[in-house]
Amino acid sequence: MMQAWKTAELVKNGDISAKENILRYIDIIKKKDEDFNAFITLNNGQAVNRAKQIDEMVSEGIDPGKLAGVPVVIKDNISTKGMRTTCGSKMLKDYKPVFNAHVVKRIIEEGGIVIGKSNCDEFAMGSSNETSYFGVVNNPEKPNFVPGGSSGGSAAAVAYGASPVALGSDTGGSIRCPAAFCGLVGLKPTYGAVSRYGLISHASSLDQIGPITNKVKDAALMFDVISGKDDKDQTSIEYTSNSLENIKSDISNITLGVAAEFFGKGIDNRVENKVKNSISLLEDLGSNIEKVKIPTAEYSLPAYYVISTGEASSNLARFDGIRYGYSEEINKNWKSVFSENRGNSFGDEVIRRIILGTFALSAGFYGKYYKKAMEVRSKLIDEFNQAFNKVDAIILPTMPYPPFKIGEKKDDPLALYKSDMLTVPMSLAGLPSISIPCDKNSLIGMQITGKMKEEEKILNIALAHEEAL
Amino acid sequence: MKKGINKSDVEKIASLAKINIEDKKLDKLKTQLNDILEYFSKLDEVDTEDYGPKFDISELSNVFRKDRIKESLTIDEVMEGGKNKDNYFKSPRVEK
Repeated sequence: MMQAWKTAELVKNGDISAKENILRYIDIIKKKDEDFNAFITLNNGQAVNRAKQIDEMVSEGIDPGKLAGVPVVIKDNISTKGMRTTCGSKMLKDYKPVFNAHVVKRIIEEGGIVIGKSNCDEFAMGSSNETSYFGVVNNPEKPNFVPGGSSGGSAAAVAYGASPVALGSDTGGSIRCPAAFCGLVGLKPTYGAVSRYGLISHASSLDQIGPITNKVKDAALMFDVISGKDDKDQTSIEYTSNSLENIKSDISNITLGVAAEFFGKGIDNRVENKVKNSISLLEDLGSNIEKVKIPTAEYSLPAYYVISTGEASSNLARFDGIRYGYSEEINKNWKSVFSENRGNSFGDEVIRRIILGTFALSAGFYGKYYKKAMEVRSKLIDEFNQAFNKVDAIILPTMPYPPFKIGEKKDDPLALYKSDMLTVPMSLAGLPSISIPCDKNSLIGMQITGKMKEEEKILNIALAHEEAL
Repeated sequence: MKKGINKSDVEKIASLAKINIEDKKLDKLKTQLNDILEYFSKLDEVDTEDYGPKFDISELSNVFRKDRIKESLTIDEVMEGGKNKDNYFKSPRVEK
């Protein structure tokens, strides 16, 4: 499949028509989506009209932008004006936002075309895309196996060729996990690098939007488009990224860190071997390998779940079915109506997490759980900072095992939580981390994690690895 | 500190969180929550004496904006999502 940056170049030059291009993708979706269930809502009609506009701009000599004519899949927890945005939940099954998320606005400004909204775990809570009200997503690379989650629909869509690029969101691994399980590239940016305005909140001190793509250069392109300060998100930081133009696969002056804490216990042998092969490959390409220590890493998982469920319980308090969202009837008192609307429309996993978070924040337990988790988070950040005094980036597996069968872990929430053990440390520390396939056609991914704001560096390392395969 | 939570604790938390949970689901939920909370207790092993809680991940603090009137959503747009009448949202009853 043609990469997005190349498509944009050809559309801009008038070498291919944006309309012909989008029709090809729509055709693929029509033929294949019923097998994989990657989409909740399609935007075919508007997408074709938009493509015609792009072609007209080109014929009039106007530059449509960095994504000229490129179809983009948007995860269904990112607001799209007038287009259903469900979060994979019965609560929002008919909800149409009246504004665009900042990232959607940016994609449209750069000539990109929103082709549809992708399936995801309900309110982005899950690692297997099995909690969606709109059904399980099937892994196109390995049917009857999970595509990973929570951005499973975004990854599946790119994997079966519905689009060259998609946006996902990552709270504790929700971009990197499905990217790994579907053999794709997934970038979780630095906390604050991309505005969260219009992203339906899960855990606000962790949430970030980022791309899922076939190739590294397209991840760089998408990051350039969506990153940067936005006054509507007060956690967004000053950041100008020109990573696609600057990207280079020379890693001869790079030192890579490997931490024993991310290997061994709990990691499948197949994963460990693949990642170690990749580390040898990166060494052959001229980088230096050094050992680093992140002793608190093994406590990241409980810290993450305390913090994320606590924040989620507060964020999801806004869904009461009165101003928008699921509502049956309102002829009862406030408390009954709220409790019925929420109880009848949130799925089991969402309810579990709200209850956990409410408990962890409740009087008498705040100190034991939430405050303690935030202290562990400080310690972890300190350890990462020390490691980054010695190395440019840290290499580790993305998921502890390859994709598993649909239904295999569905009744054991704790087992499923543990699959996030290698992705949550970077989320807690706000670090950028990219997951790339260890090998051609491999569903085992590895992460390259850098210092805050060093997306360019980890993209370079990822490109070097990709080109050497 | 008491060990684990029981069924009435779960009911109380669910009431705080304003979520109706069917009675038949409470036992399973209680068991799952206790498993998870036990796992959370692993955090007690970490010595965090030298560390305060981390709230400012990107090291921003006190982000202010000017308090200016800006263009906003129209009343029709705001009303679009819920049950409404004469530009008011219909609300639940105030009395019991």
